[in-house]
This record gives sequence, structure tokens and C-alpha cells, in this order.
Amino acid sequence: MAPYWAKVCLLIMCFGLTLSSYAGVANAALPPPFRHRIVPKPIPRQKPSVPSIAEGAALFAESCLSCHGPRGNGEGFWILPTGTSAPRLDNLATEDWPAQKIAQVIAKGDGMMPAWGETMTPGQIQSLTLYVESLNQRTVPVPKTETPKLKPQTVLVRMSH
Amino acid sequence: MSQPTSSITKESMLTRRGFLALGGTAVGLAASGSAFHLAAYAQSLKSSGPITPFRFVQLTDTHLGYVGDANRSVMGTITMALGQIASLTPHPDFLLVTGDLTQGTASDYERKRRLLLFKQVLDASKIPYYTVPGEHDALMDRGVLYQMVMGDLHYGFIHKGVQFLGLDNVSRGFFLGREQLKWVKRQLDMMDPATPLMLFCHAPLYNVFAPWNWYTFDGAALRAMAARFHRVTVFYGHVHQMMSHRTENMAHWAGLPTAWPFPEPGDLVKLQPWPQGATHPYLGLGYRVVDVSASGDLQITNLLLSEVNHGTVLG
Repeated sequence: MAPYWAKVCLLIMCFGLTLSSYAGVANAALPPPFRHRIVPKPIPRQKPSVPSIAEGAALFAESCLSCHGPRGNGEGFWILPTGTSAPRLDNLATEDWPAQKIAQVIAKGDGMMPAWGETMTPGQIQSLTLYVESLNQRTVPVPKTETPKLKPQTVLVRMSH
Repeated sequence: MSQPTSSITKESMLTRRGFLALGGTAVGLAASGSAFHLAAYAQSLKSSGPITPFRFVQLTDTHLGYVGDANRSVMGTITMALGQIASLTPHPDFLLVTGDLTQGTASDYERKRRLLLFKQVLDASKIPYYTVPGEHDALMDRGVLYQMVMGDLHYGFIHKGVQFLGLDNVSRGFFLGREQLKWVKRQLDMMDPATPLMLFCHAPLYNVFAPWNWYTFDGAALRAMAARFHRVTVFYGHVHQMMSHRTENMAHWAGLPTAWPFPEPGDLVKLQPWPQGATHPYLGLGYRVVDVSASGDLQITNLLLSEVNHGTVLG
């Protein structure tokens, strides 16, 4: 039989544990009428992220893959409302599509292309631009190879009688 | 999809015949008469007045103007739904049309013609209506023609003590955008958190499946803004099937389309409808009846079009 003081201690511990379970989540664990009375904890300010291809890849998977396809080749999983496909992003020539122009189209949109600048941060747009550039292997100069034209050949057929 | 665990909302899947057999009255509402709720509603009286019980209907993804095998008569299924809605007792106070009113087209002329036709059809039903755009209505021109024909892309109204906010998460891409979020914040700041809040939009406000654009990029920001509200219900379309989910204090409900059904994510790689069947032409098509009680509880009833009288000839 546990002594009286041990029972009291156990009760206090149980009460404390119950209270502490409410403390972790400021708004979720409380019943509705009290929820708005709790001042939410301020969200810690995050350090400004450096634009990266990794962030761009994650954003691409969430926002671009549906129309432009996982490889950026225009083979998306979602058909545009007009029944057409989104353009390829893996054959952008450097001279026609400098990074600034890619970033501008992502931010401002074009036709059915969303204006992501209205919801994404400039850093996120830069990350996406880096990722789209990486789909094109721009640093490696691609040698131009001309396919040799086939000359028409004269075929002699020997006619035998 | 997980089922909302709320004790205050009851959903049932009834056939139309079964629904009418119940006399069309709101069926046994789940009791929520706790002291907490009573206190909460005493507060709500201060802001938007007491809630008078009412009924509304959610109609979604009608795709007027579509020509193809997925639905060989979209006008037929719309008018069939409107006909059934008109015969509901008690009569709904209004219709909520959650986007994709028309089938997308690259031609501005044709889009305007389809929107005008849709408006004409709704006007003829003699039931007041509130609409939000779908990407098929608004993505091509960022909602310019939609605004011209149907009105604002986002707006709010109070009906019998319940706050409604219509949102646009499609016209400029699958997001709400900073400007609209600022507007939402201004609206929410003016509202009493104890008053029931109902949001309606086209795309889901949580991530159902991003590869099919079944998400809202900045939906989490909106959910955080509404976190202090006791009871938030979201009605949306876009996914062409019944779906329900719960995030924090929000219950999300996707309505039945009248155009064609879509499968759950995972069954197909590329999202596309299948041809309408000859034996079950109205498979997965329908609408939703929502009854709001005086305490703000919801009775949600999903009705299928397939219970229609088979003698009816459709165009």
C-alpha cells in the first residue's frame, strides 16, 4: 500500500502531464471556444534562403511538373483547359532564352502560364530559373553535326532475256 | 481520403428517391449542444445575427460547351440536375457553383458565348446563385471574360447569419496570390471567430495531388489566417468526385460533378476522363444539398443524377 504522500505526488504528476500536453500546440489542442483567445506563437524568422537548384527542383515538382512533365519535355500529367500541351523546357537555346527571360516568364506568366511572381518570392523564382536552366545542359556546347545527305544512286538492273 | 472526425457535420449518401422519402426535411442533426458551443453562438449574435436554418445546393464542374465522349450531353446533365434541385422541398435558398462552369476554349468569342449561355440557364432556374471561376473559365484570359459575364472573381456575403467567402484559386494559376490573401485577411479580421465561416472555391485548399493540379500553392497561408475560427467549411470542385478531408479547424468537401467523374489519384498517370458508359451514363454525377441548422450544424447530402426517371429523354 503506497503512502499518502506518494499518492498525492502521483496525482500532481498526472495533472502536470495533462497540462503540458496542451502546451505543445498552441491552437490545435484547445477546445474551440478558447482557441482564438490564445495568441499564436510568433513564427521564427527564417534566414533568407540562397537560391538553389535543389529548391528549384522541389518547386518544379510541386508547381510545374503537372503541365511541363517530370522531365520538362512537355509531357505533363494534366491536360490544359484548351486541350493542348505546355511547351518543352528542355530545348531552350541560350541565345533565345537567357536566364533573365526565363525568370520573367516564370514571374509574369505568358498565356496560360501562371504568373508565379504573385505568390512566389523572388528567391524562389531564381531557384526555379536555375533548375530550368539545368534541364538544358547549357554549359556544355553541343557540337553541330550535319547529317550527310544521301546522293541518289543509280541502280543498274541487268535485264536478262 | 480521410473522413472528417467532426461531430458537428453529418454526411450521408442518399439516392434522390430516398431523400424525398424523408420528406425533404433536414434529417436528424448531430447534437452539439455543449456549453462551449452555446457560449460561442451567444458571441456570434453580436456580429452577423442569429442563424436562421436554411438550405443551399452545391453544383460544380458543369463544363458547358464540352463536346466529346466523356459526356455526350453536358446540357442534358445540367438541366437534369437543375430540374431535380427545383423540386427539392424545402427549396434551396441559393446555388453555390464551384467553378468550371464552361469547357475551356482558346477562342474568346466562344468562351463568352458559353459563359452567357450558362448564365442564361441558371437565370432560367429562378434560384439565386453564387459562382466562382474554374480554370476552364478563367485561366486563358486571367478571368477577364468571366468577370464581364458572371461578376467578381472573389467576394463575400452573409446569408442568414453565416459568412461566405468565394475565392479564386485558378484564374492566374493554382494559387490565391498575395493580393487576394490581403483581401481575405481584411475580411477575416472583421469577422467574429465564433461565427461559422464557409469558403467556396474551385481547387482544393490543401494538397490532394499536385501532379494533377489538385492543390492550391499558397493554401497553407489561408488556412493559417483562418486558424482562429471555430468552424470553417470549404466547398470545392475540380476533382470531379466526392472527397472529404480535415485540416486543423477546416472541413474540406469536394462536390459531385455534373460533367464526368474522375478517379482517385493513383489509378491513372495522365488525368483524362473515360467515355460515358451506355449502361450507367450518369455514373458519379450529381450535386450536394447542404442544410444549415440554427446552431450552425451542417447536414450534407450527396445526391446522384442516376436516380432520375428512366423515361426521361435527354437531348
